[in-house]
Amino acid sequence: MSGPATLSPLSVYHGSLRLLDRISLCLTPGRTVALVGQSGAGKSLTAAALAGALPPTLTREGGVLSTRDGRMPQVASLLQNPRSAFNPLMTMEAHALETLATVGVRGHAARQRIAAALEDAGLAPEVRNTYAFELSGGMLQRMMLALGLMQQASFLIADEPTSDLDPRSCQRSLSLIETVVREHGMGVLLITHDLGVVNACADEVHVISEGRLVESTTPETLCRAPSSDAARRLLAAHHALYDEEPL
Amino acid sequence: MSLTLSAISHRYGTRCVLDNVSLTLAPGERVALVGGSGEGKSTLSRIMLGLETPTEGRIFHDGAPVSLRHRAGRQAFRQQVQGVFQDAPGAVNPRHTVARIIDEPLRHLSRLSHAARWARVTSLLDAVHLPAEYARRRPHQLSGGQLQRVCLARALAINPSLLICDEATSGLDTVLQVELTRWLATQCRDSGMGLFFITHDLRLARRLCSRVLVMQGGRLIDDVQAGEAFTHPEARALEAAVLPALPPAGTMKNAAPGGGVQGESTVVTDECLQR
Repeated sequence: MSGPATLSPLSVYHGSLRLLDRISLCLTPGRTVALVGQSGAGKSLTAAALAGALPPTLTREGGVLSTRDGRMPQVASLLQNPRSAFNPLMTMEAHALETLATVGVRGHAARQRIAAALEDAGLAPEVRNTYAFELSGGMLQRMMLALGLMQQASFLIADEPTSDLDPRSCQRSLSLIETVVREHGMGVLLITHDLGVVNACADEVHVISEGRLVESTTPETLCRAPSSDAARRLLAAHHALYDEEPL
Repeated sequence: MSLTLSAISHRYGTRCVLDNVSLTLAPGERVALVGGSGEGKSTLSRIMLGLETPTEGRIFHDGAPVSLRHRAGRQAFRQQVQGVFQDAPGAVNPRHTVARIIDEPLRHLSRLSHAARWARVTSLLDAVHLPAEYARRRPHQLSGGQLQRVCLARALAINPSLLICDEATSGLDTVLQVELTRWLATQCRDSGMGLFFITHDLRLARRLCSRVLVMQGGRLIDDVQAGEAFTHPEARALEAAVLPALPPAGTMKNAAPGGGVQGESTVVTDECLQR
């Protein structure tokens, strides 16, 4: 496992329009950093840039994730809709072998790593021979996590891993993330619009609005004394969800 | 109007998705239906909207059995019951303007003149807080939240007496969710419209509705007034999984693992804030 990694100020442009304005973050192994904001604030764009998956029509500046010794750490992703992340014609094992080949692990060593990662992600060994359509959304999410574990990624980017899930699936998804933080020491960037998710598992929280980070603090401070308008709006909506008064 | 489902069962092939569901919605009542995915919520909503015919059981509208076999019966029913779904982009024709989308139920289900329909579209846009010039825009020129409001405007165009929302706010962020549900509550109060609100978010269900139903495995397992505790263990499990309103107090969760690390994080944070 590497040490903390810093994201050099990331800007993303569409032509001359600036979509992200010098986003900088620090990810630390064993800690969960949340990035919150409304739709269109630039959350998913940040995640896409970190995963190297920006659409080709956009240009980027900076945004290199590097550790203190200058190396670029392995980063894994966890998507809200994991089905789109898998090739429907490839088995899970084929995905895993392909992932491992990118980090230079092949043959027997690869198979050993796959077995260990599936077990750690709570998947049965039989999953190897299945296709994406045979697995539920929750199992595919576990598989994405297993892919991250087997390439021994130091960091995980989880883009809205819980939105659109019912409370129990949401809880399962969050506890899965908590497991990789606790047991594998991964550093997590958790992207969400729900402060409930932040309260459940984040160590620190950054608020993004119109492509800029406007507030960086702990979940407690954010809940007690938000300093930006964007955070106050999110917080007001969040509290409205828990209000006892009927609408 | 009241809507009664009497012993509704529904099968897709040999798979039973709804199992003997009976339910009455009183006029103007706001009822939420919660449950996990794949438990039968959306199938129930399609049956209530008359988009699917149940394998067994009957639907009564103000005590009279609903018949959708003939055009007149279908029209009468659709004037009373309208729906909004989760996937707004998928629920509109991408080639139509916003005005034409909202006008569609008026054209088919009302006898208003062209001018009166146009006036109604304008007032509906205003009601959902969209600028009047959006009437000429097309769906791809609107954000997800704006498009969902267009779908709401369309559903409300003919003043239905029951609105069925199937995860209508699920794809939106919290701020928009709260804004839309507040707006829906006002609409219901002002027009006496009933609401059947399907969601997986128990927090929204409680806020918006006076009665909460829980569905599991195609059965209604709980039916309580908002504010009351659930009785079924599975429904309680759902309740226990609701995300916390506040961060856990007094835990070590936010303590930095090491001084140097916290220092590094703070440096970056300060940089961010100094801009």
